[in-house]
Amino acid sequence: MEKTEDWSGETNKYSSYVRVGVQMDEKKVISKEEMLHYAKLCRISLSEQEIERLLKDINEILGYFETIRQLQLNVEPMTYVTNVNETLREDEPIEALSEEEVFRNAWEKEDRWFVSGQVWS
Amino acid sequence: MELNSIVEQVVKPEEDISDPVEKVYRTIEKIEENRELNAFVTVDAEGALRKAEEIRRKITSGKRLGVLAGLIVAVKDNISTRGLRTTCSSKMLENYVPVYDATVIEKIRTQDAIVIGKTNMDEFAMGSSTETSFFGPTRNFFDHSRVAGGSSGGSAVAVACGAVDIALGSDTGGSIRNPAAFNSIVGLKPTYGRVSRYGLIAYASSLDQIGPMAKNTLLTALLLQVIAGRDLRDSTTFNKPVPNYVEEALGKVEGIRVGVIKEGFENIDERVSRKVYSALDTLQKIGCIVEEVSMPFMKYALPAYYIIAMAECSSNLARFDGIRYGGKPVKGKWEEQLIKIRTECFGEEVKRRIFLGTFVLSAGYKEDFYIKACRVRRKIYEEFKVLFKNYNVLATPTMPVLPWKIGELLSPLEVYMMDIETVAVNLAGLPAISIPAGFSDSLPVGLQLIGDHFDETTLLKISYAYEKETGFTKWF
Repeated sequence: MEKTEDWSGETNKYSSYVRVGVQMDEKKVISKEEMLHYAKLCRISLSEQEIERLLKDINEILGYFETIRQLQLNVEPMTYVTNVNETLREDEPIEALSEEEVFRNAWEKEDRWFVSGQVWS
Repeated sequence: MELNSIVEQVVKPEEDISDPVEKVYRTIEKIEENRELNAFVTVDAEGALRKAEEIRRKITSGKRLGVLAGLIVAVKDNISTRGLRTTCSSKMLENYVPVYDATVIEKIRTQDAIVIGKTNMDEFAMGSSTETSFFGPTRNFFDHSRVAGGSSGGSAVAVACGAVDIALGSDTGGSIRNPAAFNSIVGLKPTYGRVSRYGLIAYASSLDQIGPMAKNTLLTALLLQVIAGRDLRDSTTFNKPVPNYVEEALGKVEGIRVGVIKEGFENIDERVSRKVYSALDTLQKIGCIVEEVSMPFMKYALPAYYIIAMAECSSNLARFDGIRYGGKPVKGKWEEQLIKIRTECFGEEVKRRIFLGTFVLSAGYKEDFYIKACRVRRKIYEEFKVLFKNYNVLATPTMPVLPWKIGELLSPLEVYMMDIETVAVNLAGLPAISIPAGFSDSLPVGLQLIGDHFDETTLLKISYAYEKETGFTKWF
């Protein structure tokens, strides 16, 4: 346990931990313009102040993800550990929610429809 | 032996279930006494009393009781409970009342458990300390100025403070084991597909798993016993028989081979590693064979986990449009509504993960980040499988540090790093348990044991033998 000295000081002990685990890449991987583009894709809007903070955090995180990006691996990607198809049930009708239940959490309904704002201009 | 008689003899020898109604009143008092800890989002006194009265009627009329009769359960607030608000500790679902029960809730209700309420968590289970909750952080039972761990922090503290007997949590990257370790209780993350996720509000579907938490091993085993099994409403559950976990937990541990993953002890707080090494000495003393092993790919588990979890979360959380449920009423065109609701109702950490997930899945970056992370996932899976040829279980500390002060970790990456010991397990879909390993500077330390797929029994066996040896349930 040679890293104990990182823990003795009162300040910054956790950030020193962050740095000892893996190599950090300090370079900026995403720009402000790119960030606004992705925010749009997520349907989330950001204030100027949020953009500044998020840009810093996200670049720190993406810098950390670089360790993965740089790996060269000759194995098939694994998205699930189980084989989903083996356990599918028979395609038979089963009891579903009542109409009243389906709409219970909606802010607004009209007959048998959920009400939302206009989709196409 | 039949489960009912095992339960009566072993699990609840001192438990008086003759008056469940009285017990509910005591529980409510206890929750009130510990209000400062902020373990609960919603307390359902009315529902709990109704169930208690039902059990009391069963007792007086001599009807057969379920195996959880008289036990009070706390449920993490991302598990759907019919008629009982389920918020995911998010403003997005602040007023959401599910119209159906999760499969695990149906199962525990059938066995006469009393659900007392819903517990606080990191928003949508995205966090490692219950600090991202819309309802404020949950406090550590042993030091109220420190974090409870997370994301199932409320469930862990509800157990630790003695308000409830058992609790349900969910674990995507350590969310059961982490708060269990930080509050000196037992928390088990079952094999992926062992317990139905139907009704669990998804964070990262290929990693999420519901699991039991309790002060001792046998209650943990009992709750697992009830919730495990195939569910036709969750196609990822396995059609495998459910062992009698309670009886199995009583088995012998002599000769069980424990591989200690040496990478799990590198660059961590020495106050933690010292305690965990001494817990491993105890395992040796009670008959386990303890040897050091290496897992070179473990260091890639954390970034791979976060890439995959964020990718899946960005897709799962796309459903929150505030129109069918959740959110708030907003006027305007559909897209404007959508942006306004998501911007105002998701917290900062949730937005950050949706954002990063969208990024790692986007054209031009998907191959570099998401697909690569999935390749790392296979490597980790294979490394585990090789180790399980020679070892029954693998061991690491549950957490790399002691519980930190609320608000102390400032950058998101610092918080992510706290999952370094736990995430590999979820990537490989393995079962793992955190058991109390003692205290350093008056703060709890957890030992993590990882089992091969569907081998929860060996984990429970070791946990029970270790509990008998150390008496960790008396540390409160």
